[in-house]
Amino acid sequence: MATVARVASQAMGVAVGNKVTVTGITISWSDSTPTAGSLSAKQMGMRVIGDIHGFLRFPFADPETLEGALTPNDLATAQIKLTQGGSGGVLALLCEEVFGY
Amino acid sequence: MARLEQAIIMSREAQVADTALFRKDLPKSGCYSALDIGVRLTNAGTVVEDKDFLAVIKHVSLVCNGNDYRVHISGKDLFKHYWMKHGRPMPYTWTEVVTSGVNEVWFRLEFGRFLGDSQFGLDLSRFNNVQVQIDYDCTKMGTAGTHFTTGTFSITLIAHQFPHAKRPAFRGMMGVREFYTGTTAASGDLVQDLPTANLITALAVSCVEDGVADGTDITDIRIGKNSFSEIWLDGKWYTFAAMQNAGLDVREEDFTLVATTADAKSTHLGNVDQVIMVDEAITIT
Repeated sequence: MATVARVASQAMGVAVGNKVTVTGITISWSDSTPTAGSLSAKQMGMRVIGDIHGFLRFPFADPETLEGALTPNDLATAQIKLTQGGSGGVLALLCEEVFGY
Repeated sequence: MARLEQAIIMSREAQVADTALFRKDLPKSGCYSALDIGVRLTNAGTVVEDKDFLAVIKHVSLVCNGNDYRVHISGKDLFKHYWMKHGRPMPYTWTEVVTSGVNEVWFRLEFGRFLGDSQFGLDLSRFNNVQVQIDYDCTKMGTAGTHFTTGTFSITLIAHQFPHAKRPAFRGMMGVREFYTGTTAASGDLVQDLPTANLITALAVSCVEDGVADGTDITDIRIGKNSFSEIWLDGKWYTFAAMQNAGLDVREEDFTLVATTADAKSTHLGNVDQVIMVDEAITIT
């Protein structure tokens, strides 16, 4: 009778911030006792569940009527202040604008 | 509401250069509600470790009359912006599979309040020239010929347009732009004036450092006027993040890895609740 050999892998990911580090094993077995080896170059699906990393959006206007939008009169002296707590963050400030025709 | 047409302006056109500023002039007339941009890149024979395909897209821009940037935003921020605004991401494929693996992502530039908005949109006839620009650098995915296949960066453009016979008279159009970029310092306040020329419907703050928890590099955000004698918004990053992410329909992101123990992978999610890994290649001999 032919020996049937199987190789399967199990892995887990540990996240720090948005970065996941993989730790896993490969399990091989045939008719004998399974043996475990280090995970190496195995195709695996990874699903990460969390919050969108490093992105916040602040709507001011009603999405239908646009009531509440910041007008040029409001904006004449308008500012945003960010309190920094760590170096090395890549920062971008974005605005959603309405351009008249 | 008129039924929108989907006009394919270009379909998976491979670019000769692996690093370039792609420019495409849009037609001289037409009323667009939105423009979809799809980009793809094929992996080569060596596994790409911890690279982000979104980093390839340095900027996506919509430039009117040569120097009027109505959209100007990085690929990472454009992807996240759509996700945060609509609760779900545009389609994507993140894969490390060698040779046959193709990374792909879609972006949507929205010119109205919603698809099919007859009040706001891009009326091409209002401008002498409207150009889509994609500033891309495939070497962000590694070495040409080793990690990605040279000459496989391809672009698709699809316009969501009103039928010619039912073109609306738009009052205006919407856009999203960067107005400040930089790198955070270890401490201190960073104060920036807001752009003043147009109505602003929303603001967004992007602050990313791989492997660092949200709310670390920027801890507090305040928006107001008259030297903050009038405050519109004031609070902690972690509070805003909790409130905004609670409203998302999709809070997961999927990857196909070629995994080895101790590999790292930077994702587009933080405050990670779970990481689920599934073997996709069980071998039976």
